[in-house]
Amino acid sequence: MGILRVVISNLSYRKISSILTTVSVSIGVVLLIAILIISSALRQGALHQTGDYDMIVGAKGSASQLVLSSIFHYDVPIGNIDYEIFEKLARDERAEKVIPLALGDSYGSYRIIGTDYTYFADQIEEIDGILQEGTFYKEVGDVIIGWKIAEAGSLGMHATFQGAHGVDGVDLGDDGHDHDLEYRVVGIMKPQHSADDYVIFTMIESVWEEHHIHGTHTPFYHYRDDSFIGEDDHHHDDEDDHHHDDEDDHHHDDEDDHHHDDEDDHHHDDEDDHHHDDEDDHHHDDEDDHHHDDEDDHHHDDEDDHHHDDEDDHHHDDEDDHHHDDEDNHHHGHRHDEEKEITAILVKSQNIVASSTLRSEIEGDMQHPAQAAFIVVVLRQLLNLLGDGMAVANFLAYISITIAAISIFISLMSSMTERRKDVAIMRMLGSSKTKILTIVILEALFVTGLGIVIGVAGGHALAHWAGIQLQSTAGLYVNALQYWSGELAIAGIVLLFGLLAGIIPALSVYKTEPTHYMHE
Amino acid sequence: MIELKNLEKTYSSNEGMLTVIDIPFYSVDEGSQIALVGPSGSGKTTLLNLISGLVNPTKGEVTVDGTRVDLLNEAEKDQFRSKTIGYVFQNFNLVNSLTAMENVMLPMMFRGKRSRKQQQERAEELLEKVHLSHRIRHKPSKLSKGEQQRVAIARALANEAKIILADEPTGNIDFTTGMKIFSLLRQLCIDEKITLVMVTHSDEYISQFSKVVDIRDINRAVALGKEAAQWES
Repeated sequence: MGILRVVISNLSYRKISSILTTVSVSIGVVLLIAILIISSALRQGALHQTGDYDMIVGAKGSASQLVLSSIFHYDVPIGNIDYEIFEKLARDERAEKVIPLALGDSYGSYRIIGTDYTYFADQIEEIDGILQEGTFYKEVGDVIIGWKIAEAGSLGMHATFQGAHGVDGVDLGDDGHDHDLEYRVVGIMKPQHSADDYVIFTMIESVWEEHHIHGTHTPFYHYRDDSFIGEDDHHHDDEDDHHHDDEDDHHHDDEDDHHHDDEDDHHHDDEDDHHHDDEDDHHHDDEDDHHHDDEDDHHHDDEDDHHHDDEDDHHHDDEDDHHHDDEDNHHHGHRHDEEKEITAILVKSQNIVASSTLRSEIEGDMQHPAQAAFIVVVLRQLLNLLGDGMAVANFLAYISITIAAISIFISLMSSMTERRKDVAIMRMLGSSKTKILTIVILEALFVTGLGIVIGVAGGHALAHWAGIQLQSTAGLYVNALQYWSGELAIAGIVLLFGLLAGIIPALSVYKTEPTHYMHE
Repeated sequence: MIELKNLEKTYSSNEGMLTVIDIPFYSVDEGSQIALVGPSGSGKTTLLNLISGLVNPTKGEVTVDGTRVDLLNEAEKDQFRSKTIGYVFQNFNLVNSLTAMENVMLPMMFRGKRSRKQQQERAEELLEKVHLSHRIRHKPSKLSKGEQQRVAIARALANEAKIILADEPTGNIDFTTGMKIFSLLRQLCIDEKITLVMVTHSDEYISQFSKVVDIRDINRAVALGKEAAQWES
């Protein structure tokens, strides 16, 4: 028999007291560990989620709401901003990376977010790296889904669905249109360990299409490519760029340009589909922008090219001007580039000065009202709020640990009368004082240690559960199944509490005069 | 085996110094069995505690098995008790949280000379000797008083003690059971060649001993009577 057997026997002999003491230690540790994991994971997750963007541009309103809705996919978006702000930023060399986000629709509890591949990768060649299955979206209606959505069985490869307007049950001001765009799952993302795992991503154009806005979007860097921007007046590389069925389908009265960046932007079946009266150019950045079946499909009255940068670029006199052949024909009033909007723009600036001046300019632009918020500043505010809560929770956890320590102390002290006799017997049997001291301290440490083990496991379980809630609500990823630095420190501190709680009873027993208790 | 020389034990009290033991000389031979008798407060228990080293003498010498117990420090006394002395009490003094076998193993654990397996084998052997093989996993609360005392006897023998100090071992047990236990204790001491010093008040037991010592015959401080009895308890 070893000392540990004596310790365990003593503890099991006082079962209820030992269990209650262990439970009280466990509760304290559960709280401390869970708080540690959640707060650490939130900070880490927040940084991970923000990537290397330093600024976010969105509708005027709460910066926190903007960050939460756009980055963490939590909370309702404030509203939309003109797409032109994106175009302007895309052209601005001070912005290293400019990524648009178009929010507003959802499928079940999952948000549908429109963006381009630059959100996921720097190079288009790298895009498949984010997918565990399928391909990246190429056409309007194509979506890729976060792996958690696939895992939940809500959607799978090749599944089709229709989006509902608004997020989290909040309608964001739709005009009552039915959502008849059929989305198709073409890819499933690898785990991103972020809010993106719960998001359905699609082309910006899909989101616009859903709202009957016909427009095209090109990633930011296209705006900086000389060979791409302004190469010629009206550039069509491929078939099906701009297809018009009817005469006079497309009539442009204004000076502004007509800018198409993507595939299948416009379809006209008839002659003279596209009529331009003015001098301006018509500029297409991408392949397949415009398709004309006939020679006269596209008619320009003036010699000049056709390039639209601004609102009112595209003017249609009749409802039938714009005819769509595909199955997603819209039977509602059509809106066009002039109404192109996005929800937010993530910006990575070249440097602090650049981001500062960009911010001033964006906020000072009265024509395109928007706010530009520094993500780190907003995050700091949010985490500080979180930190206050965590501090209170930490305080409560330490109170709980102190109570547990007192409980150990009371438990050991209360058993002292009985223990003194046991100690006297042991002394009589030849036990040294040191062994007696060791036995009592080990009892305190055993109870504390067991409480710590249960508490750590419980803390991880609680954090895991909280993480699932946070993930599904706030989109914050909490990996509770890993070791977080600080756990060992907590275990050490609590063990020290237990040791201190055991020392006084141990010293008290140490001084026991055996002969006083032998005849009781 | 036991030799006491000019042994004195004095306690301080409100009324001054109180001497409870004053033995000029007394010795006990190895392997002998002695009944120590005398009225309450005559210093019987204190004498046992002085022999075992649980109490330090104020003056004089206590030599047990060639060891000057009075000169040992605390740790050495622990070792000495563990190796040489077996104690049997009126109230058994078993550790309630441990089983019968664990109680028997306890002194072996403190002695540290036997492996866990050896401790177990020795405990089983001793419990068999006291006819408790079927109760080895029982805790004291599940044992009768007679069984508890038999566990205490087995425990006293665990480290092959040279001396067993038994302080009224049958005081809490009915006569029939007590007599069985008494006989068992005496027989085991004979078998193991252990010196037995047993405090008792009962004539039935006293009559079984070949040597009976009345403490009043060896302790000059006995006249103090009642006050000394307080210290004895």
